[in-house]
Amino acid sequence: MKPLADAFGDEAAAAAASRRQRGCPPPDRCWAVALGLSAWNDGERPHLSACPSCRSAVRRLRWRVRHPSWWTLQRATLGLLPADEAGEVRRHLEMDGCGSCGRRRQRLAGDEVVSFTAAVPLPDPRTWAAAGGGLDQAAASADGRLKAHLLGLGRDVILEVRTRDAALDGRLVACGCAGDDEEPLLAFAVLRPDVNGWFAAQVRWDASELHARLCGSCRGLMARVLEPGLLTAAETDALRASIDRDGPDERSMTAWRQWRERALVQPEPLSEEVRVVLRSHPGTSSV
Amino acid sequence: MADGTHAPWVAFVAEHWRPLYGYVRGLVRHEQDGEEITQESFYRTFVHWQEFQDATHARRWLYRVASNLCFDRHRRGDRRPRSLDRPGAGGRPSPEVAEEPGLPPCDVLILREALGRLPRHLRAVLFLRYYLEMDRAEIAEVLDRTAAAVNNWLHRGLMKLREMLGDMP
Repeated sequence: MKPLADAFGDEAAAAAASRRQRGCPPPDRCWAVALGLSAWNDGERPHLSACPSCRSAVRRLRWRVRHPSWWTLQRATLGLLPADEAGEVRRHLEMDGCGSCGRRRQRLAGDEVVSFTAAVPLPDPRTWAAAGGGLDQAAASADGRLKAHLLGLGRDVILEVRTRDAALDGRLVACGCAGDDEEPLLAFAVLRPDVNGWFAAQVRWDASELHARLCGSCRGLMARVLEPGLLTAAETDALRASIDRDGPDERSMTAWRQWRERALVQPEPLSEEVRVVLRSHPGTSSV
Repeated sequence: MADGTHAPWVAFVAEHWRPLYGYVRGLVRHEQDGEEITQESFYRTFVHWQEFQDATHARRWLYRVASNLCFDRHRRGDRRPRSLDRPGAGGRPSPEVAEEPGLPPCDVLILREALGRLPRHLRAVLFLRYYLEMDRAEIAEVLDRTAAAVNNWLHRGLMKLREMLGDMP
Protein backbone atom coordinates (compact mmCIF):
# COMPACT_ATOMS: atom_id res chain seq x y z
CA MET A 1 0.00 0.00 0.00
CA LYS A 2 2.33 2.65 -1.31
CA PRO A 3 0.33 5.79 -0.38
CA LEU A 4 0.33 4.72 3.26
CA ALA A 5 4.01 3.90 3.22
CA ASP A 6 4.71 7.31 1.69
CA ALA A 7 2.56 9.11 4.23
CA PHE A 8 4.22 7.37 7.17
CA GLY A 9 7.64 7.87 5.59
CA ASP A 10 6.89 11.54 5.17
CA GLU A 11 5.91 11.82 8.84
CA ALA A 12 9.06 10.06 9.99
CA ALA A 13 11.12 12.40 7.81
CA ALA A 14 9.31 15.44 9.24
CA ALA A 15 9.92 14.20 12.79
CA ALA A 16 13.63 13.74 12.14
CA ALA A 17 13.80 17.09 10.32
CA SER A 18 12.61 19.01 13.38
CA ARG A 19 15.54 17.57 15.31
CA ARG A 20 17.95 18.34 12.50
CA GLN A 21 16.67 21.92 12.26
CA ARG A 22 17.59 22.42 15.91
CA GLY A 23 21.12 21.31 15.00
CA CYS A 24 21.00 18.31 17.36
CA PRO A 25 23.56 15.58 16.64
CA PRO A 26 22.06 12.36 15.22
CA PRO A 27 20.96 9.93 17.96
CA ASP A 28 23.52 7.32 16.89
CA ARG A 29 26.26 9.90 17.60
CA CYS A 30 24.81 10.41 21.10
CA TRP A 31 24.95 6.65 21.66
CA ALA A 32 28.49 6.40 20.29
CA VAL A 33 29.62 9.09 22.73
CA ALA A 34 27.67 7.64 25.65
CA LEU A 35 29.24 4.24 25.00
CA GLY A 36 32.70 5.76 24.81
CA LEU A 37 33.23 4.81 21.16
CA SER A 38 33.72 8.41 20.16
CA ALA A 39 33.97 11.93 21.57
CA TRP A 40 32.11 15.08 20.59
CA ASN A 41 33.89 16.94 17.84
CA ASP A 42 34.53 20.68 17.69
CA GLY A 43 31.50 21.20 15.46
CA GLU A 44 29.14 19.49 17.93
CA ARG A 45 30.34 20.96 21.22
CA PRO A 46 28.92 24.49 20.82
CA HIS A 47 25.48 23.00 20.15
CA LEU A 48 25.67 20.77 23.23
CA SER A 49 26.58 23.77 25.36
CA ALA A 50 23.56 25.64 24.04
CA CYS A 51 20.90 22.91 23.78
CA PRO A 52 19.48 21.84 27.16
CA SER A 53 17.46 19.07 25.54
CA CYS A 54 20.53 17.38 24.02
CA ARG A 55 22.60 17.88 27.17
CA SER A 56 19.96 16.30 29.31
CA ALA A 57 19.38 13.39 26.92
CA VAL A 58 23.08 12.58 26.67
CA ARG A 59 23.59 12.79 30.44
CA ARG A 60 20.66 10.53 31.08
CA LEU A 61 21.89 8.03 28.58
CA ARG A 62 25.52 8.03 29.62
CA TRP A 63 25.11 6.84 33.17
CA ARG A 64 22.63 4.20 32.18
CA VAL A 65 25.05 2.44 29.86
CA ARG A 66 28.39 2.96 31.63
CA HIS A 67 29.71 3.26 35.14
CA PRO A 68 30.13 6.90 36.15
CA SER A 69 33.69 8.18 36.33
CA TRP A 70 35.24 9.27 39.64
CA TRP A 71 34.52 12.84 38.52
CA THR A 72 30.79 12.29 38.30
CA LEU A 73 30.56 10.37 41.57
CA GLN A 74 32.67 13.00 43.31
CA ARG A 75 30.46 15.79 42.03
CA ALA A 76 27.41 13.82 43.11
CA THR A 77 28.94 13.46 46.58
CA LEU A 78 29.59 17.20 46.76
CA GLY A 79 26.09 18.03 45.48
CA LEU A 80 27.50 19.75 42.40
CA LEU A 81 25.73 17.77 39.69
CA PRO A 82 22.80 19.27 37.78
CA ALA A 83 19.51 17.81 39.01
CA ASP A 84 18.84 15.62 35.98
CA GLU A 85 22.31 14.09 35.98
CA ALA A 86 22.19 13.58 39.76
CA GLY A 87 18.90 11.75 39.23
CA GLU A 88 20.49 9.46 36.67
CA VAL A 89 23.44 8.68 38.95
CA ARG A 90 20.98 7.90 41.75
CA ARG A 91 19.10 5.63 39.37
CA HIS A 92 22.37 3.85 38.45
CA LEU A 93 23.15 3.33 42.14
CA GLU A 94 19.71 2.50 43.46
CA MET A 95 17.40 1.20 40.73
CA ASP A 96 20.09 -0.52 38.68
CA GLY A 97 21.66 -1.53 42.00
CA CYS A 98 25.29 -1.01 41.02
CA GLY A 99 27.05 -2.10 44.20
CA SER A 100 30.56 -1.36 42.98
CA CYS A 101 29.66 2.28 42.20
CA GLY A 102 27.91 2.54 45.58
CA ARG A 103 31.15 1.50 47.27
CA ARG A 104 33.20 3.83 45.07
CA ARG A 105 30.94 6.71 45.99
CA GLN A 106 31.31 6.00 49.72
CA ARG A 107 35.08 6.04 49.38
CA LEU A 108 35.00 9.35 47.55
CA ALA A 109 33.13 10.98 50.44
CA GLY A 110 35.82 12.80 52.37
CA ASP A 111 37.68 16.04 52.70
CA GLU A 112 40.73 15.24 50.60
CA VAL A 113 39.39 16.81 47.42
CA VAL A 114 40.33 20.21 46.06
CA SER A 115 37.34 21.80 44.39
CA PHE A 116 37.39 25.23 42.79
CA THR A 117 33.88 26.19 43.79
CA ALA A 118 33.47 29.26 41.57
CA ALA A 119 33.60 29.10 37.79
CA VAL A 120 37.07 29.93 36.48
CA PRO A 121 37.00 32.13 33.40
CA LEU A 122 39.42 30.86 30.79
CA PRO A 123 40.69 33.82 28.82
CA ASP A 124 41.43 33.21 25.18
CA PRO A 125 45.17 32.40 25.20
CA ARG A 126 45.64 34.67 22.18
CA THR A 127 44.75 37.65 24.39
CA TRP A 128 46.48 36.57 27.60
CA ALA A 129 49.16 39.20 27.33
CA ALA A 130 46.54 41.95 26.95
CA ALA A 131 44.58 40.51 29.87
CA GLY A 132 47.61 40.88 32.14
CA GLY A 133 49.02 37.37 32.18
CA GLY A 134 45.96 35.15 32.11
CA LEU A 135 45.19 32.50 34.68
CA ASP A 136 46.28 32.34 38.29
CA GLN A 137 43.94 30.63 40.77
CA ALA A 138 44.56 28.61 43.90
CA ALA A 139 42.48 26.35 46.13
CA ALA A 140 42.99 23.81 48.91
CA SER A 141 41.24 20.70 50.17
CA ALA A 142 39.07 21.02 53.27
CA ASP A 143 41.51 18.91 55.29
CA GLY A 144 44.40 21.12 54.16
CA ARG A 145 46.49 18.23 52.85
CA LEU A 146 46.27 19.15 49.19
CA LYS A 147 46.78 22.49 47.53
CA ALA A 148 46.12 23.18 43.88
CA HIS A 149 47.29 26.00 41.68
CA LEU A 150 45.88 26.67 38.23
CA LEU A 151 47.98 28.90 36.05
CA GLY A 152 48.46 29.86 32.43
CA LEU A 153 51.99 29.53 31.24
CA GLY A 154 52.95 30.12 27.62
CA ARG A 155 50.70 27.95 25.51
CA ASP A 156 49.70 25.73 28.42
CA VAL A 157 47.29 25.69 31.30
CA ILE A 158 48.86 23.89 34.23
CA LEU A 159 47.15 22.46 37.28
CA GLU A 160 49.73 21.74 39.94
CA VAL A 161 48.68 19.73 42.98
CA ARG A 162 51.01 19.85 46.00
CA THR A 163 51.21 18.32 49.43
CA ARG A 164 53.67 18.13 52.31
CA ASP A 165 52.23 14.79 53.40
CA ALA A 166 54.94 12.22 52.62
CA ALA A 167 52.34 9.44 52.86
CA LEU A 168 50.96 10.66 49.55
CA ASP A 169 54.26 10.32 47.70
CA GLY A 170 53.79 8.12 44.63
CA ARG A 171 49.99 8.28 44.75
CA LEU A 172 47.79 8.97 41.76
CA VAL A 173 46.20 12.40 41.47
CA ALA A 174 43.01 12.63 39.41
CA CYS A 175 42.09 16.02 37.95
CA GLY A 176 39.07 17.07 35.98
CA CYS A 177 37.40 20.15 34.59
CA ALA A 178 34.23 20.77 32.62
CA GLY A 179 32.43 23.52 30.77
CA ASP A 180 28.71 24.16 30.45
CA ASP A 181 28.02 20.75 28.96
CA GLU A 182 29.40 18.94 32.05
CA GLU A 183 31.43 16.73 29.72
CA PRO A 184 34.57 16.39 31.83
CA LEU A 185 38.12 16.59 30.66
CA LEU A 186 39.98 14.15 32.88
CA ALA A 187 43.70 13.84 33.47
CA PHE A 188 46.01 12.06 35.87
CA ALA A 189 49.48 12.51 37.30
CA VAL A 190 51.58 10.92 40.03
CA LEU A 191 52.81 12.81 43.11
CA ARG A 192 56.60 12.83 43.36
CA PRO A 193 59.14 14.67 45.54
CA ASP A 194 59.64 18.34 44.71
CA VAL A 195 61.63 21.09 46.46
CA ASN A 196 61.47 22.15 50.14
CA GLY A 197 59.69 19.04 51.39
CA TRP A 198 56.81 19.31 48.94
CA PHE A 199 55.43 16.55 46.75
CA ALA A 200 53.90 17.69 43.48
CA ALA A 201 51.99 16.41 40.47
CA GLN A 202 51.31 18.44 37.35
CA VAL A 203 48.64 18.17 34.71
CA ARG A 204 49.14 20.22 31.59
CA TRP A 205 46.56 21.13 28.96
CA ASP A 206 47.05 22.97 25.70
CA ALA A 207 45.52 26.39 26.44
CA SER A 208 43.87 26.86 23.05
CA GLU A 209 42.35 23.39 23.10
CA LEU A 210 41.11 23.84 26.64
CA HIS A 211 39.60 27.21 25.82
CA ALA A 212 37.79 25.79 22.79
CA ARG A 213 36.74 22.61 24.58
CA LEU A 214 35.23 24.38 27.59
CA CYS A 215 33.84 27.28 25.55
CA GLY A 216 35.80 29.84 27.60
CA SER A 217 34.65 28.96 31.11
CA CYS A 218 35.63 26.18 33.47
CA ARG A 219 32.59 25.53 35.68
CA GLY A 220 34.05 22.70 37.66
CA LEU A 221 37.66 22.01 38.51
CA MET A 222 38.61 19.29 40.94
CA ALA A 223 41.63 17.31 41.99
CA ARG A 224 42.05 14.50 44.46
CA VAL A 225 44.24 11.55 45.34
CA LEU A 226 42.62 8.45 43.86
CA GLU A 227 43.13 4.80 44.65
CA PRO A 228 43.71 2.74 41.49
CA GLY A 229 40.82 0.45 42.44
CA LEU A 230 38.43 3.36 41.96
CA LEU A 231 39.29 3.76 38.27
CA THR A 232 36.82 2.38 35.72
CA ALA A 233 36.64 1.91 31.97
CA ALA A 234 35.32 5.50 31.78
CA GLU A 235 38.81 6.72 32.70
CA THR A 236 41.11 4.46 30.71
CA ASP A 237 41.43 6.81 27.72
CA ALA A 238 42.34 9.72 30.00
CA LEU A 239 44.80 7.52 31.90
CA ARG A 240 46.49 6.42 28.69
CA ALA A 241 46.64 10.00 27.39
CA SER A 242 48.13 11.23 30.67
CA ILE A 243 50.93 8.66 30.55
CA ASP A 244 51.57 9.56 26.88
CA ARG A 245 51.67 13.24 27.75
CA ASP A 246 54.37 12.66 30.38
CA GLY A 247 56.38 10.46 28.01
CA PRO A 248 59.19 12.94 27.33
CA ASP A 249 59.73 13.62 31.06
CA GLU A 250 61.87 10.84 32.51
CA ARG A 251 61.18 11.77 36.16
CA SER A 252 57.44 11.64 35.58
CA MET A 253 57.72 8.34 33.78
CA THR A 254 59.69 6.87 36.67
CA ALA A 255 56.87 7.95 38.99
CA TRP A 256 54.32 6.35 36.64
CA ARG A 257 56.24 3.08 36.56
CA GLN A 258 56.51 2.93 40.32
CA TRP A 259 52.82 3.69 40.67
CA ARG A 260 52.00 0.95 38.16
CA GLU A 261 54.04 -1.63 40.04
CA ARG A 262 52.17 -0.86 43.24
CA ALA A 263 48.76 -0.72 41.51
CA LEU A 264 49.18 -4.16 39.97
CA VAL A 265 49.97 -5.86 43.28
CA GLN A 266 47.64 -3.98 45.62
CA PRO A 267 44.98 -6.14 47.30
CA GLU A 268 42.00 -4.22 45.90
CA PRO A 269 41.00 -5.58 42.48
CA LEU A 270 41.55 -3.35 39.46
CA SER A 271 38.94 -3.13 36.73
CA GLU A 272 39.91 -5.30 33.78
CA GLU A 273 40.14 -2.29 31.44
CA VAL A 274 42.53 -0.48 33.76
CA ARG A 275 44.62 -3.62 34.19
CA VAL A 276 44.95 -3.89 30.40
CA VAL A 277 46.19 -0.29 30.16
CA LEU A 278 48.74 -0.81 32.90
CA ARG A 279 50.00 -4.07 31.47
CA SER A 280 50.19 -3.00 27.85
CA HIS A 281 51.09 0.69 27.86
CA PRO A 282 54.62 1.00 26.49
CA GLY A 283 55.41 3.91 28.79
CA THR A 284 54.75 2.01 31.99
CA SER A 285 55.43 -1.59 31.06
CA SER A 286 59.08 -1.16 30.22
CA VAL A 287 60.32 -1.41 33.79
CA MET B 1 24.11 -10.13 18.33
CA ALA B 2 26.88 -10.92 20.77
CA ASP B 3 29.97 -9.85 18.88
CA GLY B 4 31.51 -8.07 21.86
CA THR B 5 31.55 -4.55 20.41
CA HIS B 6 29.07 -1.70 20.48
CA ALA B 7 29.47 -0.73 16.81
CA PRO B 8 26.56 -2.93 15.56
CA TRP B 9 24.34 -1.39 18.18
CA VAL B 10 25.19 2.15 17.03
CA ALA B 11 24.44 1.10 13.44
CA PHE B 12 21.10 -0.33 14.63
CA VAL B 13 20.24 3.03 16.26
CA ALA B 14 21.21 4.88 13.08
CA GLU B 15 18.94 2.66 10.99
CA HIS B 16 15.89 2.52 13.25
CA TRP B 17 15.79 5.81 15.13
CA ARG B 18 13.97 7.80 12.46
CA PRO B 19 11.14 5.35 11.72
CA LEU B 20 10.68 4.57 15.41
CA TYR B 21 10.50 8.25 16.30
CA GLY B 22 7.96 8.75 13.50
CA TYR B 23 5.91 5.83 14.86
CA VAL B 24 6.05 7.01 18.47
CA ARG B 25 5.43 10.65 17.69
CA GLY B 26 2.41 9.65 15.65
CA LEU B 27 1.02 7.72 18.62
CA VAL B 28 1.69 10.18 21.43
CA ARG B 29 1.37 13.32 19.28
CA HIS B 30 3.88 15.22 21.34
CA GLU B 31 7.41 16.01 20.23
CA GLN B 32 9.17 15.85 23.61
CA ASP B 33 7.23 12.82 24.84
CA GLY B 34 8.00 11.20 21.51
CA GLU B 35 11.73 11.77 21.91
CA GLU B 36 11.70 10.47 25.49
CA ILE B 37 9.80 7.31 24.63
CA THR B 38 12.02 6.69 21.61
CA GLN B 39 15.14 7.09 23.75
CA GLU B 40 13.74 4.85 26.48
CA SER B 41 12.78 2.18 23.94
CA PHE B 42 16.30 2.11 22.56
CA TYR B 43 17.75 1.95 26.04
CA ARG B 44 15.56 -1.02 27.04
CA THR B 45 16.46 -2.78 23.80
CA PHE B 46 20.16 -2.09 24.40
CA VAL B 47 19.94 -3.82 27.78
CA HIS B 48 18.90 -7.06 26.01
CA TRP B 49 21.05 -6.57 22.91
CA GLN B 50 23.22 -9.62 23.54
CA GLU B 51 20.15 -11.86 23.69
CA PHE B 52 18.74 -11.14 20.22
CA GLN B 53 19.32 -13.67 17.46
CA ASP B 54 19.37 -11.06 14.69
CA ALA B 55 18.39 -7.50 13.81
CA THR B 56 14.82 -8.52 12.93
CA HIS B 57 14.34 -9.96 16.39
CA ALA B 58 15.79 -6.78 17.94
CA ARG B 59 13.55 -4.56 15.80
CA ARG B 60 10.46 -6.49 16.88
CA TRP B 61 11.46 -6.06 20.51
CA LEU B 62 12.17 -2.36 19.99
CA TYR B 63 8.71 -1.71 18.55
CA ARG B 64 7.05 -3.81 21.21
CA VAL B 65 8.70 -1.77 23.96
CA ALA B 66 7.82 1.49 22.23
CA SER B 67 4.19 0.43 21.69
CA ASN B 68 3.80 -0.56 25.33
CA LEU B 69 5.29 2.73 26.52
CA CYS B 70 3.00 4.75 24.23
CA PHE B 71 -0.17 2.88 25.18
CA ASP B 72 0.75 2.84 28.89
CA ARG B 73 1.29 6.58 28.85
CA HIS B 74 -2.04 7.05 27.13
CA ARG B 75 -3.86 4.73 29.58
CA ARG B 76 -2.37 6.49 32.60
CA GLY B 77 -3.47 9.81 31.15
CA ASP B 78 0.13 10.93 31.58
CA ARG B 79 -0.01 13.37 28.74
CA ARG B 80 1.11 16.88 28.25
CA PRO B 81 -0.97 19.31 26.23
CA ARG B 82 -0.81 18.21 22.65
CA SER B 83 1.79 20.00 20.59
CA LEU B 84 1.19 18.15 17.35
CA ASP B 85 -2.53 18.12 16.91
CA ARG B 86 -2.04 18.86 13.27
CA PRO B 87 -0.20 15.73 12.27
CA GLY B 88 1.43 17.35 9.27
CA ALA B 89 3.14 20.06 11.30
CA GLY B 90 6.73 20.65 10.31
CA GLY B 91 6.82 18.45 7.25
CA ARG B 92 6.60 18.77 3.49
CA PRO B 93 4.49 16.43 1.45
CA SER B 94 6.20 14.10 -0.97
CA PRO B 95 5.87 15.26 -4.58
CA GLU B 96 3.66 12.42 -5.78
CA VAL B 97 1.67 9.51 -4.48
CA ALA B 98 0.58 6.61 -6.63
CA GLU B 99 -3.03 5.63 -6.46
CA GLU B 100 -3.64 2.26 -4.82
CA PRO B 101 -6.74 0.15 -4.85
CA GLY B 102 -8.63 0.38 -1.62
CA LEU B 103 -8.06 4.06 -0.92
CA PRO B 104 -9.45 6.99 -2.85
CA PRO B 105 -6.87 9.15 -4.63
CA CYS B 106 -5.31 11.71 -2.32
CA ASP B 107 -2.02 13.41 -1.67
CA VAL B 108 0.32 12.68 1.19
CA LEU B 109 -0.68 15.69 3.27
CA ILE B 110 -4.36 14.72 3.22
CA LEU B 111 -3.52 11.12 4.00
CA ARG B 112 -1.30 12.18 6.91
CA GLU B 113 -4.10 14.31 8.28
CA ALA B 114 -6.51 11.37 8.08
CA LEU B 115 -3.97 9.06 9.76
CA GLY B 116 -3.62 11.59 12.55
CA ARG B 117 -7.33 11.28 13.26
CA LEU B 118 -7.29 7.50 13.54
CA PRO B 119 -7.40 5.87 16.98
CA ARG B 120 -3.90 5.00 18.18
CA HIS B 121 -4.16 1.24 17.88
CA LEU B 122 -5.41 1.43 14.28
CA ARG B 123 -2.70 3.88 13.36
CA ALA B 124 -0.09 1.61 14.96
CA VAL B 125 -1.21 -1.45 13.06
CA LEU B 126 -1.23 0.39 9.73
CA PHE B 127 2.26 1.77 10.36
CA LEU B 128 3.68 -1.62 11.22
CA ARG B 129 2.02 -3.28 8.25
CA TYR B 130 2.44 -0.75 5.46
CA TYR B 131 5.53 1.22 6.45
CA LEU B 132 7.65 -1.43 8.17
CA GLU B 133 6.11 -4.22 6.11
CA MET B 134 5.77 -6.54 9.08
CA ASP B 135 3.59 -9.61 8.57
CA ARG B 136 0.53 -10.19 10.72
CA ALA B 137 2.28 -12.59 13.07
CA GLU B 138 5.02 -10.05 13.75
CA ILE B 139 2.51 -7.29 14.34
CA ALA B 140 0.58 -9.54 16.71
CA GLU B 141 3.79 -10.08 18.67
CA VAL B 142 4.69 -6.39 18.73
CA LEU B 143 1.24 -5.30 19.87
CA ASP B 144 0.68 -8.35 22.08
CA ARG B 145 -2.56 -9.26 20.31
CA THR B 146 -3.78 -12.29 18.37
CA ALA B 147 -3.34 -12.46 14.60
CA ALA B 148 -7.14 -12.33 14.29
CA ALA B 149 -7.24 -9.08 16.25
CA VAL B 150 -4.54 -7.66 14.01
CA ASN B 151 -6.54 -8.64 10.92
CA ASN B 152 -9.57 -7.00 12.38
CA TRP B 153 -7.69 -3.78 13.20
CA LEU B 154 -6.13 -3.64 9.75
CA HIS B 155 -9.52 -3.99 8.14
CA ARG B 156 -11.10 -1.38 10.41
CA GLY B 157 -8.19 1.00 9.95
CA LEU B 158 -8.44 0.89 6.18
CA MET B 159 -12.23 1.24 6.32
CA LYS B 160 -12.00 4.29 8.54
CA LEU B 161 -9.39 5.85 6.30
CA ARG B 162 -11.60 5.29 3.27
CA GLU B 163 -14.50 6.96 5.02
CA MET B 164 -12.41 9.92 6.11
CA LEU B 165 -10.78 10.40 2.73
CA GLY B 166 -14.20 10.19 1.08
CA ASP B 167 -15.39 13.04 3.33
CA MET B 168 -12.37 15.24 2.67
CA PRO B 169 -12.44 17.86 -0.05
